[in-house]
Amino acid sequence: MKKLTASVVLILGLAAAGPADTLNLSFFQNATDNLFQTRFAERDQLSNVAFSYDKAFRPFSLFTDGQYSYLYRNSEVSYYAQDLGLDYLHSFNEKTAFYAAAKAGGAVYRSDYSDFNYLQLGSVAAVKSYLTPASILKLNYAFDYKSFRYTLFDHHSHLVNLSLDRYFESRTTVKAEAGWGYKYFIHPFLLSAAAVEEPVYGMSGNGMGRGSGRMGWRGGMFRPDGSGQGQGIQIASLSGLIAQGVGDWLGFRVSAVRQWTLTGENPFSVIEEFYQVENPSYDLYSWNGCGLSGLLTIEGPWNTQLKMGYTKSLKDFPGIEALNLEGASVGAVRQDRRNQWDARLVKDFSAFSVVLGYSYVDNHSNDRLFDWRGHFLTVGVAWNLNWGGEK
Amino acid sequence: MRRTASLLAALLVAGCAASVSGQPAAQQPSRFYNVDTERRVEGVIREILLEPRYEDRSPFLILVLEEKKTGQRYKVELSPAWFFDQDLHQGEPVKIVGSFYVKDDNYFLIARELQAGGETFRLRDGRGFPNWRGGPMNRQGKRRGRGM
Repeated sequence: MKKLTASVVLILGLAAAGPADTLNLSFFQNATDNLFQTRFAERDQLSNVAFSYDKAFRPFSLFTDGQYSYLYRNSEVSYYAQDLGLDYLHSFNEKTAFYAAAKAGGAVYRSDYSDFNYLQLGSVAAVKSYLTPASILKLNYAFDYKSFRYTLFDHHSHLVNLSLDRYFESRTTVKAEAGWGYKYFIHPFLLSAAAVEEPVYGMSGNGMGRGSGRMGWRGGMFRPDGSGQGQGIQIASLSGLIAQGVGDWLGFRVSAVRQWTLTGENPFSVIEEFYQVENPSYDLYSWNGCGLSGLLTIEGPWNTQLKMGYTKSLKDFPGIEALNLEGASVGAVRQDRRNQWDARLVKDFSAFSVVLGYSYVDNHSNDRLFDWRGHFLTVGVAWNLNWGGEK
Repeated sequence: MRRTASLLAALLVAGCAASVSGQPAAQQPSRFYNVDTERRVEGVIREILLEPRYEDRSPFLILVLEEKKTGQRYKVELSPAWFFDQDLHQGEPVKIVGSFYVKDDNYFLIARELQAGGETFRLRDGRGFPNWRGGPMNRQGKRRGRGM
């Protein structure tokens, strides 16, 4: 709680430090009955205090974000994340614009998770062009480098996306997108090095021999049969979207994605996702498969907006062996089938917004530890402060 | 741990320093958002332009909007980098709430609220201050709840 208070003071101090073009403060309170997202559900609450600040330095603008998250029952996983960057926008002509940004950042976790402390460098370059008045072409490239305290997670990645859309008079937008990505783990996965250096984390013992407790790790994070080489994972994806507006107050969109792993596989022994706490074993590169989602947006009275979504996904995790609850292999790659329902209500006031969100996830996996269900609730408020900034 | 913490602290200090030493706005925009001149216009997008609105500034997304009832054309100023993630097209019906002014016999709107495709985008708050926050990079990595 002291850290939470300190963060609030820090953020307010920053807010008072000088005139800002844009300053956003937010406080979100989250609750879940399954923080570590396994069949042995563990309840927790998270308080999240964040600030975002933008200032124009023509022709650049500076942005910085800070965020402190405090977990009540698993307070040793609490963390602070901060980044600082510059972005730049330029129009080549009336129809084509270029955007570039670079940032540095990092995160510091408390003791239970401190091996995942990281420093990050990132950059983005994007071009958006109106090919015709009703058709937009977008090309996006993102570079990311992360250096962890536990160096075996160090990696860099490159992601390219190309999208093309078309708007029709029926108020329908159709969009197609292709993506390619490459993630490279910088350090070689030497068996001896991994065996010696790999940290041993406490297993709280409710996993029936599979350690599904606090951090959920079961007997090491990297596979003992590491190839002895640095490892790259290459992915490609295709996705499509159809969006339709109905009147002034109703919009819906349906999208689908198919992703392939072209080369490489996960070097880990397990892939884990934690609610609101980044886990380096899980990201865009850790899976292949497909997903289908629908989103309904309803504009309500009194500046309210309700969004309701459903996502179904089928994901394989290459290189990850599915295990039974005793820790024995079931002879197959881990495969998850997930159904997720989301609802989000936002009420905008003059200078702030109130957000209420709820999600339910039903995850079926051939790895029984990851056969889980969970409820996630979010309540928050976000302020938009302008201290002497321009209108 | 110590190295990461030190560098994070340095980033935070740099952010603070930037906010303290930031240059004053030497070149004010030609028009400010004026809540007293707000009006609501319903129409169709006839043209889309990317152009700097203020000297040495980033390009804005500008819509040429034809009002449904009167056929009057407005130049609507939306935002800078925000538009990278929001795709608007010619022929789309939209409703705009914005600050109205006339210059050289042309009608202009500085948009505060945009309704398109069954969704409402609030580009500025109720007092006219910008709500947008940078481009694609700036919105990455926010962890404020699961889902949308």
